[in-house]
Amino acid sequence: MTSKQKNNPNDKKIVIVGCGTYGRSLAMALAKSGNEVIIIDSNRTKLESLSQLSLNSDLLVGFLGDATIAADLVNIDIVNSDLFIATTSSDSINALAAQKAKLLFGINNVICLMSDKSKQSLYQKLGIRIVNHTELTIESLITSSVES
Amino acid sequence: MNVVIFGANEVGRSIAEWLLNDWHEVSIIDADNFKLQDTEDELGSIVVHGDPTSEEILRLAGTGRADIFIASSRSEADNMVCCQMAKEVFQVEKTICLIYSEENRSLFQLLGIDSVINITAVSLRSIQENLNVDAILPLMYIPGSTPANLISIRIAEDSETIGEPLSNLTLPNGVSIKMIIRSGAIIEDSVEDTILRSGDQVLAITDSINLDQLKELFQ
Amino acid sequence: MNFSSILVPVFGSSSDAQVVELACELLKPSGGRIFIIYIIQINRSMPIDIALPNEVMNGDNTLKAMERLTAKSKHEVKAELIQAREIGYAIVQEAEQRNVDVIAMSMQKVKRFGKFELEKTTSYVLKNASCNILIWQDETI
Repeated sequence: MTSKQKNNPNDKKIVIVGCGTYGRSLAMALAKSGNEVIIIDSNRTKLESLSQLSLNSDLLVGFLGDATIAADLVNIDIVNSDLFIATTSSDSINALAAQKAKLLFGINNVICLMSDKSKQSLYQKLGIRIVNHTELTIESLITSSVES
Repeated sequence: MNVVIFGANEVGRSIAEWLLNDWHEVSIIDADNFKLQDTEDELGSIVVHGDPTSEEILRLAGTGRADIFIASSRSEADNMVCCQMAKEVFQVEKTICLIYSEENRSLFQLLGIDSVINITAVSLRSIQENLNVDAILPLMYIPGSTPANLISIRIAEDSETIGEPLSNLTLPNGVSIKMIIRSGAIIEDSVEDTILRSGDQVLAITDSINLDQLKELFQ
Repeated sequence: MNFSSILVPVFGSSSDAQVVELACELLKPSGGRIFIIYIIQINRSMPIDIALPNEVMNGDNTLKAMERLTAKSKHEVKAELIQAREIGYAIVQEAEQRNVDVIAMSMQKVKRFGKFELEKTTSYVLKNASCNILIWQDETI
């Protein structure tokens, strides 16, 4: 739970790792529905792309840092977050950041994007939820093609 | 032994070469075909091309029957994932993971990776040993029920220990001297009777991590 | 062009006999040496010296058939079964160790995505062997 007073008890404090296509869209959607979102990326240009999106919300904050470094996670006050989502394009970086959040900072809800299915069960055993974005995309493509 | 290595870089290749010369079976995985080509030219048909964190490639490389898995690539995150796969999916007895800073050590140990080696610290220590700047160097950490450190002490010119047989010295609690090296050779006489000289290198075991007392005594 | 030694890798395919006969003709009429090898590729999930009775039987049968073919010639014939991790690498190694003048081997015509493609073993040998190489392609397909 966040230490901050909340307007709505359902609103969560969410950390998103990676300001790529997935991370950015996800962050915007979650902020739009009233959650407090911090998006962390080590690439300044990617973070700057956030400000061009003319967000009229102070719920979405970008942070320049490395989510695999404990000190940077402390800087974004990770211990008070409710949800941690790793969305970079590297499975290994996502796994490293997610395990730090889960095992070193005790975050309960950790989600990790992964493109290789063979590693899924390994991380699920540690209580990290694995989402395969290729499968998701294909699923929604199939659904929408059936609908039309 | 059967050893699978991830990382066809200088480190991985030297480990492979050393093991092959000792007649062990080695395979080396990398995603970079150019590095693998060089490795094959140099060391023979031991290379496997592909993503070393994927189960299929690890299986192709023979991880299922490996005694040791060594991750020596530049990416600590990749090293971590393939060591975890080797341990959890393929039940490899010993997994060794190279790191370049201390940042990830505690996490990797928590994850059950058997040895985590900081390459930067290893080279730094080797440089320190060569420069003889520090009087006391930790050489090896010995875990166990009472953890201890193997340390090297260089006797300074004005040390109060010079001129006395070692048995006359009062050493701090928990310190015992095991060996004395003088001008590059081990002194064969009993350690107790040896009279220390300036420049001697003393190898000692200590259960304390506080080395200040020793520093004062020998410097 | 008469050679004194030739290495012929055989694969248990229909072109084996043609390549071996061709090799015999290429050697000096007074007699040369011909090395016939059959390579069993051993996956790294198994030890290199594992006993695979079926594969060994296939290999032995192929080698015996090739030896019968060469029985009438004056050449010195050696046939050998080899277990290796990579077939191409093993062929190049054998050629180097036996210091042969030529490697004579057959290749399958492979079409991938509708286009001709040189399969892995052949292209490896072409790229890495330091002796002469003769490739025989079957007219099938």
